[in-house]
Formats: sequence, C-alpha cells, structure tokens
Amino acid sequence: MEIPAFIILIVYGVIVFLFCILAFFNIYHAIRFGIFDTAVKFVTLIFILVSLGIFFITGLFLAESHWRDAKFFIDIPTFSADTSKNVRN
Amino acid sequence: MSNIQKIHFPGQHHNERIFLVIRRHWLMFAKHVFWLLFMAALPILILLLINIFLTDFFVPDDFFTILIVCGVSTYYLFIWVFFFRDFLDFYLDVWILTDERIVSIEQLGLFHRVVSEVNLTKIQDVTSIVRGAFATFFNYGETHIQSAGSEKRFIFRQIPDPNGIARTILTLHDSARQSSDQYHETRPL
Repeated sequence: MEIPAFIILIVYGVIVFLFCILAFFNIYHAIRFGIFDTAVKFVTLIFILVSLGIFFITGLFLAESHWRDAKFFIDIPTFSADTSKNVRN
Repeated sequence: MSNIQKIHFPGQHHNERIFLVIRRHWLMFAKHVFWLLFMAALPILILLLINIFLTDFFVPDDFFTILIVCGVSTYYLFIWVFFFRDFLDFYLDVWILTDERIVSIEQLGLFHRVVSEVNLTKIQDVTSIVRGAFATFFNYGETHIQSAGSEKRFIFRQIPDPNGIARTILTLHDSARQSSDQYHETRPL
C-alpha cells in the first residue's frame, strides 16, 4: 500500500486551520481587552509576524521537497492458499 | 498631563482620576519566556543529535523530510500560540486605583473574564503579604482588601511592592472618606 505525501499536507492544512482559529481568539482578546497601552498591540504584531515567518520557512522547505512524487510504501502481508503444495496420497 | 492620566478604561466615570494601574510582577511571566526558549531549542537539539549520531542509520527520503518539516512546523506554531495566550493571561490581569474606587479585571483564560470593583469608602482593612525568598528579593506579593460590599475580599496577586500599594490604597481611602464627609456636611437639606 502506498501513502502519497500530499496526505501529510492535508493533515498539516487542518492543523494550520486549527492554529488560525486559536490565533484569532487570542488576537480578538488582545484587541478588545488590551486597551491601556501600545504594548499589547506591539506583542500582537510580533505574534503575527513570527507566525507568518514559521509559515514562510515551512513553505521554503516544502517547496524544495518532491512532495508530488514522494510516497511511503507499506508492505501488508497477504495470505493465499498455495494449492501446488498440497500433497495427495 | 501625565501618561497615566491619558489612560481611559471602559466604565470610567466622568472626572474620575486614575492613580495607579497595577499588573502582576514581570517575574511571573519570565518563567513562560524560559519555557518557550527551552521548548523552541528542543527540536533543534534533537535534529542536531540525529545528524551527529544517527546519520548512518537514518537517511530521510522526501516523504520523511516532509513529515519532519510539517511536524516541526506544527510544534513551533502551537508553542508560539500558547505562549501568546500565556502573555495575554498575564498582561490582561489589571488592577486600577482611582480616586473613587478600585477596579479588578482578571482574565482567567479565553472567554473567562472577571471584573469587580469596590468603592474606596467601603474599604475596611488592607493587608500586604510577601512570602518566600524570591518574593522578598524581587519585592512582590499579595495585597488583600477587606470591604463592606458584596465582594468581601479583593486580592491583588503577585503584584510588585504590595506594601506600597497597601499604603497607597489607605491614603486614597482616607481622601475619599474626607471628601464624602465634607459632601454630607455641606449638602443642602
């Protein structure tokens, strides 16, 4: 059985979606309740920039890989009745 | 106008003056920073060790390279977002001392926020507690405020200079009581 590499990318896409939801909730709290000074805005900006940086570096590595062709092969043993070895007296 | 006078918070009364905005001591967030640095360094150390000691046994092909890249990316994304959440949990805990009241705003996690206030004239007792070697060296601790309102006891946790904060509260309480007494004496019948 072969598992194509894009399966990993699909799973990674789901994980990125979950990350974006978490990030959205955190940024929402920062904007709505971080009212007193610019420190929260600055840290929020840093958070967004570093997150984009992680995505960018991940994209660089993935662009270098041959993810369209990469596959993982699993040998699943099969059992079949080999009638040629049956001995009849 | 000083910087603190430029601050406005939701629900602030007209002509209400802010004296202090208190947040938890910076040391409380420092442990999150060290934890982040440790967690960020961990995959790099593991990959370096694999590269040094297991090169002959482990030669990643494209599939495993993609798996490792996506795995490490996921790891860094989530430790980063949880670090940001810890920062907000630390930074959004605020205690505001004004000339009329004390407002306590505590962020207890996402979507859980507790805002309470006590009028300065209703304060009955203020206690400051500094417990432990770290707290003594870095001068942080708790200030407990006993009031006559429904919120019986306010607690400022892990704040810098709790003794100074307690003295400031008592000074503001005395000023508020004097103003209140003068108002009642001069109020026309």
